[in-house]
Amino acid sequence: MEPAALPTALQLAASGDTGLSLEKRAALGASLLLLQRDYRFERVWFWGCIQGVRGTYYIAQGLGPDLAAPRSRLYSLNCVEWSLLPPATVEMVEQAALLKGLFQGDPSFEYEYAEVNAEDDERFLEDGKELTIKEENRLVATIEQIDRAVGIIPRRAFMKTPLGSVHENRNFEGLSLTEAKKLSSYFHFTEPVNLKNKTLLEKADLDPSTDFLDSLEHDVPQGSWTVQFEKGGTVVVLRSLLWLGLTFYHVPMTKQYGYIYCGTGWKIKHICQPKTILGRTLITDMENMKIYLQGEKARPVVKNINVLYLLDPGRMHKLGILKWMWKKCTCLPTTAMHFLLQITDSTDFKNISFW
Amino acid sequence: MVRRPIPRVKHRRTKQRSSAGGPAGRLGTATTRTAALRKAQSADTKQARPKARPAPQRRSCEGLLHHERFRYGALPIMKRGKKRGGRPLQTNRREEQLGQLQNGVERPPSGNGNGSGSRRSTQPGGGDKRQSLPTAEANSRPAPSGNGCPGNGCRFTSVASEAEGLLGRLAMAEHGPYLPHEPGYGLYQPGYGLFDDQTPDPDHRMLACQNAKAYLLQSSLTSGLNLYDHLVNVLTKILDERPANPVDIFENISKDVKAAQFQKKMDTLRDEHEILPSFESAEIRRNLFFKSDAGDEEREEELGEIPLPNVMETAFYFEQGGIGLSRDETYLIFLALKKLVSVQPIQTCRFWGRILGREKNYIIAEVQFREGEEEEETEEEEVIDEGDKRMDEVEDEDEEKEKNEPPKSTYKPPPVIPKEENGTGANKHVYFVCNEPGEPWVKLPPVTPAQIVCARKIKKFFTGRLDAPIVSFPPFPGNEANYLRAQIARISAGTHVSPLGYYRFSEEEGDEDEEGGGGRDDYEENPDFEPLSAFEMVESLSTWVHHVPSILKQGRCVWFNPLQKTEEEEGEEEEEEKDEVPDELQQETGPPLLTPLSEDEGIQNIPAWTVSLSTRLIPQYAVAILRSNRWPGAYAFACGTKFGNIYFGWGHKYSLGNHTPALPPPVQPEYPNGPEIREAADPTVEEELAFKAAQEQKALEGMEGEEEEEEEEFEEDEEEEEEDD
Repeated sequence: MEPAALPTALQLAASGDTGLSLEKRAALGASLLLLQRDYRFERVWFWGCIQGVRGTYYIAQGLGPDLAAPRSRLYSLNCVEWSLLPPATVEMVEQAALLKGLFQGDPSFEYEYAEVNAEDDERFLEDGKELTIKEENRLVATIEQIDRAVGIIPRRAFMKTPLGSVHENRNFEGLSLTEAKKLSSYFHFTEPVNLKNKTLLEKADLDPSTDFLDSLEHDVPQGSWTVQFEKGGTVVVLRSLLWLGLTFYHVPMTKQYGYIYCGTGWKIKHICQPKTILGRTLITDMENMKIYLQGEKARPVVKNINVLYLLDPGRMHKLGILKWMWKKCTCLPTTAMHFLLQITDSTDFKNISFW
Repeated sequence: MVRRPIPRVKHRRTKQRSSAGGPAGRLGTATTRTAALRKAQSADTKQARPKARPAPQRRSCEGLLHHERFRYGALPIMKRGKKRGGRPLQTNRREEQLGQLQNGVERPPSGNGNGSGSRRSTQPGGGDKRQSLPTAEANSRPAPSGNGCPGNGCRFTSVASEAEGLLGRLAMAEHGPYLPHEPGYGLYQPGYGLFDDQTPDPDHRMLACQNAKAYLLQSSLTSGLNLYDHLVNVLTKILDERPANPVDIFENISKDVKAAQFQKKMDTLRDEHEILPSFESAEIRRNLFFKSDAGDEEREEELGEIPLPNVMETAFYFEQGGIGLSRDETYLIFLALKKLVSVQPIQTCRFWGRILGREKNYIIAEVQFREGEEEEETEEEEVIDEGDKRMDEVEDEDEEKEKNEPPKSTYKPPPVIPKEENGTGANKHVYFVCNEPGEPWVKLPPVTPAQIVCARKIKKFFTGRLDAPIVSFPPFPGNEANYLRAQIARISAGTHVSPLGYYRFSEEEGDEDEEGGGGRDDYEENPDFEPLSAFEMVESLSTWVHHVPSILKQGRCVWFNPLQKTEEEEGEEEEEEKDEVPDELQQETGPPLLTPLSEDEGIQNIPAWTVSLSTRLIPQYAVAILRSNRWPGAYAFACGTKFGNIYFGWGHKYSLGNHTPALPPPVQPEYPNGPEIREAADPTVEEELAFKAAQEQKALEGMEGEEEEEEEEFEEDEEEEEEDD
């Protein structure tokens, strides 16, 4: 968000643990402007912070005239001195995905893969790559992931020009109260994935200049966003349950919106763990204790008929399933899922909820 | 009205001669031209108004008619109309405009003189009709302007006429009869004026103008607007407001103008006043600001000390570290706490924190009741106990059903570990929650060990509704209120810390030796507490201590021997607790109270706590801030003699990697699998035959007599011996 809007934004979106002390807040007001001058950015946004064990990274983003263009990212440990981060590569994201635990708070800290996973280690050995990853790279990868997964804007806030660049829509006057409640009025501000897969019927109402992004409506898993009206129903606040710490706020009927991330940089996967088995994606929704089967296309195949009830594992209730099937299912999550997938393949079961 | 190609050439020549300045000259005199036009208009409008006025009333229905016709192009219609020799198919309005043209002809040449600033009227050799063209334009203009944008000044009209002239020219290319035959010939060639080389026949040109305008005047079926009026309004708006770079935001202006026009309300229904959802919550919040009754105040005065904490002061220190809600929200919570204190018999009260939920959030207050008035609680507890009993009954019923079936279950449930008494252990404090400040506070039920044990195994988001069920594996005993209470107990036990020396064990309890490990749970404020500086507080974690007892694996703070309960009578439990000597089970012990934080276990390489200073620049006034890594969202501060703990988060403990739910237990066997039960394999045919043969042989031998028996026996013995060898 814009540095000028930061105090208001923090007040509106504060989840309580933003960790931006008064001193840092004041420092941001000055240093971000200087960033804009030194790096010749069109505008500078404060992105948020990632908490580490020994320090906290504060992240800023520099933008050019085209908002959709890759952004430059900068980090700082004290909100005064900023350093430019390298652009994220696919490799970096892959490597960082292997790492667990909190950030250290030291950009030159090197993680060793040996601690992480022996198999992956071998893989990287074969490739002749280094066995370590710098925390700086992990930071880049994490920011990239967060931006890609949960960086959101309200619908119509940005506009695509015929030349392909994306600008702020100066005609945007905020979502209405009814719109603000719906996930379909918020967009992922990243390359659209599901847009092309939409049916003609769904596309009929879309306006190509404003609806050029994916909406949150079909996010997997469903329910990974919370929409709340706070401050006595005047501010709509969206929080991601996948990346705890991401808060988006918008004051309906005004142009005020933005998101801020303040967290540990760790994605919560227990509410949803997609796995690819037999060429299909299975999604376990631990929050609702369900398993979804995702089809080849990106749309989730969610059928709502529960076929397999195992209410009490001790006293098994046999409902449409043979006992030997359950006996085979000894461990979670891979084998069980594999097994459940076999059931779904061999029978007409579409959705299986277990426990 | 037939085309006359030959005069066109003539016109072209004359035209070229007349417009000596060329395009540049034309453009250069734009302002003078406007001024001249303005004059012409003021003269013309006076004459034309009365006739032009009636047009708008008819236009709406005409628009519909025109709409159909013009879809097929204006020109063919015109031609058809002309061929018939009668009036053109255009309806009344067009006739009227034509009539105006006629009038223009009859008018004295002064009108022409006024319009001489216009390029077109300078063309020499034109007939009367041609000269009257600008007049006609001016004449017909007030009609739409009067309709679309009343009350606009003179300047607007001049602009409109300018626009109209331009539109007229544009329309000529599209709809006029003099479209050049060569492709790509016309407006699309830059620097090539359409009329530089040719002067259209005045009649046709006029008609083309009318045609174009009639096209522009078609009102849309959906919105009821027409483009002509709209353009006029847009241009007026631009000239009134003079925005920078109007070309770039033209669409927006157009949109704004349209939006502004839609305001007119056509139906006779009265608007219902919109009731925003925020009104309701505003009402709730406003109630916080009313002063409570006089009786309450007196009561407080009698009591002397008000248990209300200074929430704002605590919030101030946290704010130094960037933790906390916005100030006005904190103040609302402050007011809400005051309300709670005035209603309930509370001894101590504290703002515990806020837990985020999927639908709503929980604001949590931690209180201790005054000692004499805890009876109220017990009543409520009984209700809860009854609820538990009901649950048990249901289970009993299940068991009864099972009893009807032959095999009796030999399963015995493990003994239930009793919950801790109110005011002790995990139930030392009572918690009140509400979703928004101002809403009524709801008391959470006391926590049971089973709930704590189960809460450790699951990880669920809160919904914000206390009565929501917890769907999980292993199944959680209770609903969300119980889960919330269990998490609060866990968080408090793990993260409530104070500076070393702030609390000390109360001496009255004495005899440390007798009580042993986790026995001492009474502490008091140390009057001789000497605060450390913030720097010292940050340097080492050993300057911080836990002041809430840790919860054992069992789910209690004080260990309870489950075996003892089965032997002894249940009524004496409490007394036994202290005396009990663990027979078979090892007593679980946790770290004693007031253990320094440096003893806390981290998660793998991650230390349990992160310390920081609110400011490095002004160390004199720095506040030491402590952040828990085990419970993200839990914070503590210490500044001088002040300290505080608070929690803002999701109520989840940090886990390295992902949370994996516990595995279901293995499936029970239906029957014991042993040799007695196992069915023997059926004999094969060979075996049967062999058996049969043996039987027959035996029978035969029996028939032969007993003489040989001895021999047989002897033989058999021999055989056995051989086998043994």
